[in-house]
Amino acid sequence: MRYPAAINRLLEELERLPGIGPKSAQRVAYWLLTAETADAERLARAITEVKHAIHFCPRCFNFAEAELCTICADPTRDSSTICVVEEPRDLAAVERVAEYRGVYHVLHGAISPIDGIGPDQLRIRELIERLGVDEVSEIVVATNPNVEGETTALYLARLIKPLGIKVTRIASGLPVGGDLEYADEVTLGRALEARREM
Amino acid sequence: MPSYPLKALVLRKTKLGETDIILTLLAQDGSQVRAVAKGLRKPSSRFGGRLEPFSVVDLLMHTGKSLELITEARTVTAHAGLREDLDRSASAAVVADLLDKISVQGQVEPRLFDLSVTSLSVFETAPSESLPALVIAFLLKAMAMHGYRPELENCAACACDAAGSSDFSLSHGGVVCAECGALDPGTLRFPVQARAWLTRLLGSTMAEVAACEMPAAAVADCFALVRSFVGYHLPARLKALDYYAGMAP
Repeated sequence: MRYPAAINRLLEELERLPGIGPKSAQRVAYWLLTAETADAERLARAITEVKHAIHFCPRCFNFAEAELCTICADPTRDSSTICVVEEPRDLAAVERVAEYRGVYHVLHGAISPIDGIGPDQLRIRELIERLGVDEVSEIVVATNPNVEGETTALYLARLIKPLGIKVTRIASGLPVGGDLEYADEVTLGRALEARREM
Repeated sequence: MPSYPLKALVLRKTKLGETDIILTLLAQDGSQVRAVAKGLRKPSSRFGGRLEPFSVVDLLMHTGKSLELITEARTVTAHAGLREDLDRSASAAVVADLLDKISVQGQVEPRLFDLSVTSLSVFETAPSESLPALVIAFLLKAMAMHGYRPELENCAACACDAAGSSDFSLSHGGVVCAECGALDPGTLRFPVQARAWLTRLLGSTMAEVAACEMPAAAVADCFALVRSFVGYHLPARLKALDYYAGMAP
């Protein structure tokens, strides 16, 4: 079907979004066309605002609206412990637990030799610079427990341990609510390795 | 054939949607298979830990519309040691990257699977100092199986006796005599000792390579030559090999 040029432009833009195919783009476009003008304008304004107002925190590279992100700017956070994560969404996942009171450093990826992603493409240099400025006693490496995440963790440990700073890795094991019989050998092996006394 | 078993080596993972993954696999017959593992990125996934790169797995596959679908997975060899050491992990990434580039869907080469699995097992336990020699040996052997065995005895251009020659022509795919070398502007010069090492690596088992104590100078010469050779004959760039080269002390 032939659409007016303005609708075609909207469909083209929507299809560029992650997870949006032609059919989903059409559904969103129809909703926008039938919605109140104020709703559509509010959405457009929110998109423009987020692009203008949000930047990366110069200290931890999380998203920030002010000069520093809300975590780096919070004086009650323990700045001697830095939790290193791959992406801002990983930071949000750790924050949801509400157990961790330290600060963060977002790498914006993980080392992946097969994809040609090395340490230089990540925010590792900035992390090392940060260790020279702040009084840091522990680095908690919370990269994903896959090959890329493990490679990154090993690289960070090799780089940071000689500086006399404690480097820890988040534990891996069985998910709560899961069945032991379905656990894979690597996960179960690690769970047994990191067992604790009751 | 809706469902069938498949033994395979996991080469790489590509994200698909929110939680799914497309896996690139090297099947036991040496052909490449691409398959979807649904929900693999969820912590509660039934086979998340089993389908990591470098693992050898027994799979139950279901023929999908475009890509195959993995419905069951059992670990044969996890090669977990490769993920616990940066040098071993980077070496294994070279293996996976090369296999990803040279294996083809439907093209059978069973020796490639056996070589790869054996190589990864040796990478896991070999002394760290022997890893560069093992990487060179794997590249030579895999390229030979792919149809690019470097000629290391006679002149690759005119077939004359090239004993003592230190000229290597990438376009001819091997050592060349002084006369033929002079005609090819792309000829590389490398020490005669390195040529002897290449012959030895090509003819040894991976376990023998792990024990061969190759001198650092020979490792550097052979690695540079084999890297150029692979780069010249493969249509795609081996990013893992570039990364590995950057790691060298």
